Amino acid sequence: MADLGRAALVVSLGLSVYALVAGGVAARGNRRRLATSARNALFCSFASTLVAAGVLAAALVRHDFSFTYVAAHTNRTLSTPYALSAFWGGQEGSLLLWLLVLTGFGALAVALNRRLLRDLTAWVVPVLGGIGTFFAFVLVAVASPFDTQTAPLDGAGLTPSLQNPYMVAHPPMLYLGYVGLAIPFAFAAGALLSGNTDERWIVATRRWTLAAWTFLGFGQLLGAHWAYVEVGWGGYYAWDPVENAALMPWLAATAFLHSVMIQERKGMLKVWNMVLVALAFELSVFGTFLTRSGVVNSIHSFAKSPIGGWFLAFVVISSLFSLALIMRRLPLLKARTKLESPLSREAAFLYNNLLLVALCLTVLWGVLFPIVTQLVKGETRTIGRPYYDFFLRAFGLPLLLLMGIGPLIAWRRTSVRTLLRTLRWPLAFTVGCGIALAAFGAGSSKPGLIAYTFSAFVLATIALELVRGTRATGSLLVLVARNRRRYGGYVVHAAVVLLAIGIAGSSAYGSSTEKRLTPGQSMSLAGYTLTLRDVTRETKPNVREERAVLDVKGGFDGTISSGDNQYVNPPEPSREVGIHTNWLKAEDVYVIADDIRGNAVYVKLLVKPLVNLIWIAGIVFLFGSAVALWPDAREQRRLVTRLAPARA
Amino acid sequence: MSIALGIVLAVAVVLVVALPFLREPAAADDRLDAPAPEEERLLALVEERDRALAALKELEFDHRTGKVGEEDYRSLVAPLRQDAARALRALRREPRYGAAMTGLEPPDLPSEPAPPPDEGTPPVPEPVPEPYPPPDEATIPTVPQE
Amino acid sequence: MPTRSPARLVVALAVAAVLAVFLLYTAVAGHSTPTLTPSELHGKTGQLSIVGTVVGPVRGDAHAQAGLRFGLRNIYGKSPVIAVVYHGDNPPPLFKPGRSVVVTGRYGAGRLAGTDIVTKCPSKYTQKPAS
Repeated sequence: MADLGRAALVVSLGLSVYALVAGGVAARGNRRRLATSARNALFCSFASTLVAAGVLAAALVRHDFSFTYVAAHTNRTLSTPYALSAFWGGQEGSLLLWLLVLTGFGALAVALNRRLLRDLTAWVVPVLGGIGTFFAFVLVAVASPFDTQTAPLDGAGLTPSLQNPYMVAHPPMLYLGYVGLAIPFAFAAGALLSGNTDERWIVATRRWTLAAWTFLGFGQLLGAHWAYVEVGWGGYYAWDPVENAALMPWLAATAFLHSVMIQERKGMLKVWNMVLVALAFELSVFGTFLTRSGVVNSIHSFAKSPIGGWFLAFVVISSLFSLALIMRRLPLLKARTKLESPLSREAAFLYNNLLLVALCLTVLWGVLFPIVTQLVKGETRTIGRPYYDFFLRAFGLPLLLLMGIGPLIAWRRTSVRTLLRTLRWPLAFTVGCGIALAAFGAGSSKPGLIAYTFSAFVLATIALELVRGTRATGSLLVLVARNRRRYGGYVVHAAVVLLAIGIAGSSAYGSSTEKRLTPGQSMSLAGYTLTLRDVTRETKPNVREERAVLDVKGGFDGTISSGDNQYVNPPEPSREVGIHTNWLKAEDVYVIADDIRGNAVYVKLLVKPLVNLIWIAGIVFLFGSAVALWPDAREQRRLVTRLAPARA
Repeated sequence: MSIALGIVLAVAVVLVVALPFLREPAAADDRLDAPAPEEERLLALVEERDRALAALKELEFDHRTGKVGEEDYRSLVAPLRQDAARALRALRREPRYGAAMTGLEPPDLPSEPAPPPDEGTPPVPEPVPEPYPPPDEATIPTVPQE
Repeated sequence: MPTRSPARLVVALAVAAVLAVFLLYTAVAGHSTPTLTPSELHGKTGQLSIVGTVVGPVRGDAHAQAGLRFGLRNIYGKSPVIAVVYHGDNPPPLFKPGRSVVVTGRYGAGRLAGTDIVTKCPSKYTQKPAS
């Protein structure tokens, strides 16, 4: 069966090359049949990649250890869902997933748009073919999932700490995001190549961009939650290079999402948009390179892998190609209107772009720093947390403020007087909140207080927008239904605000203490008193569980347990933390039994205020995106009849 | 078994890729289905008209909800109205405009009782005392219902 | 130049502001830690991070006065074994001899007073399967 998988991948490679070459020739030479043939090749590359994926999936479920990959990442005791999740547990499998999603999305995007934007789509095909060629090549020649061996009796198994629902959800969701960004990139490149640089490519890929951005954002929140509850150091984000690898393209995509609105309305920022979409795509491939190549030290990556060099080459070549294309077509990217005032909605979007790109480049610099210092000074230096925290505040807080002011500024220009008049109520509310918060002790952290105050401001402006809009249209539902993108966007902004409040609360206003306890001894923090009752040890099939059981008083009455699991097959330990959410006080009590010797336990106790807002923000985020993504029948009809061929 | 399946896959794929040439071995017209320059121009004019009308409606909505002050409104509405009027005039000059109207009608038709707002095109508010005549929507040719 | 839009000025000022913030930070604070392998430690002292493989025996208690004691050597190739005395949170559960780790702390006189340990997930992405 491995032969079939290998053959299918070779077929995919051939089809991608054909789509690239024939597609390019057809688009250049205006040849219809060849263009259709290249498009068919793109569809077929999805089919053959699907076959290859099917072979791997079947081997995983069947526990076919003659596949080296299956033996390396599963064993007989693994249940089917986790055996399948091992598909993306290792390098070769995740590359195959990349290719599968790429060919699938590519086929779908081209199929949906083949009548709408014929000349544009003719150029999108070779671009997608080019990207597919790279990944198929790596899968065929460098890192194949279909290497075989004499089957051992049992496989190595999946690390127990990876056997949880997060492993099933988090990587695929991120991949849908990463790869999804290839679609707007391909259409942007197609627009440049075909010389068709008006807004049609943006309108055609609008929902793709939003969906990819949503997957990437939600996937990161899943990862953060996973780190919080499973890895258990008390935090949810460590500015680890692999975490940053997903954050950077997301920031670029956020800037792109907003900036295209300006191009649609005002025909401005055309060059920005081309650069942003290319940046988002290159960063997502670069992110894959970071995670897989072992080039930087990270909790996720390590072994130096041969694919690193190939990925780097691809990123460099495709970046140079994009840059050259943009420079070549610069005359076509002239703005239709000009920026008239630094206090206008256009300017606000420009500031938004600048801040987001600044934050993105800051993170990129932090990630590249060890590599750069190694090359320049011969010594690897790593940048620590304080760097990221500083710039997150320096750029993130102004962004938060902009989220509130931006929607309230009018197009072209607004006078300061009008703006202040519009902001009357939100400003009053904000000042009131600020004073109240300071009175309640929030002044203990200045950045925290600023974050809270700005968040209050943004929430007030969103409420203001909803109230005014409802008054003008008569019904909130009608208002939202008729302006899904705008009001869905406001809901997403509200989610970002909740995220900001959650992050500020749990980092700026959290507290911690640690103590060694024997049974009967207690420790206190923030009104909670924990007393060690006992250390229990329980043996279950495949695992030995050791737990410190603590009684809690004050705040809530109950018990929290924390400790370690020692698994048998494979023999790996994992840390299990105890988390109790005190909904009334809106905080988490987080207990880590750091060291258990006999009956004595070294306990680390953390209180994390408002941390659950981060996870709630994820749900609100999804809801807002769903509203913004919801198909609009009238808009679709208009697009189709307008852009379809007259003689169809 | 795998080899047989592999061959089937390869053959199927080659067939699908060659399909356009198998269907039309000698095509009369092998040009890519790109829109003709006249079509392109018409499309560009239509899009410009829609943009101008959308900007106008958004300005009125912003004015109604207080985002745009009275003086700002007066100074901004005039050029927008001129843009819209110009776009409509340019469209009416196009010979194809009357003939192929499907999909080209403006986002809001004046005859609708309460025109729904689209993305960025909120409903037309109550008539505001205006110093300049509104764009000439009354003389748009009647459109076949969708 | 009355006809030139303020856009360029705005963008230029904004970019300058961003760069200024950036340069100020790196000039004043500049928190970067050298990350070295055990064989690269000649003559170095002060705050740094060491990347290496844990060498047993692992003795002691991270929360006790005497700390947790173990050794570090290069992940790839031969190198001297550096002694580490670690105080702080217990190392992550995957910490054990043979694992790759990054230990941060003050280094001097051939010994590292470690304060932070990061372990790496077991070899999920290597070419060879774990036996």
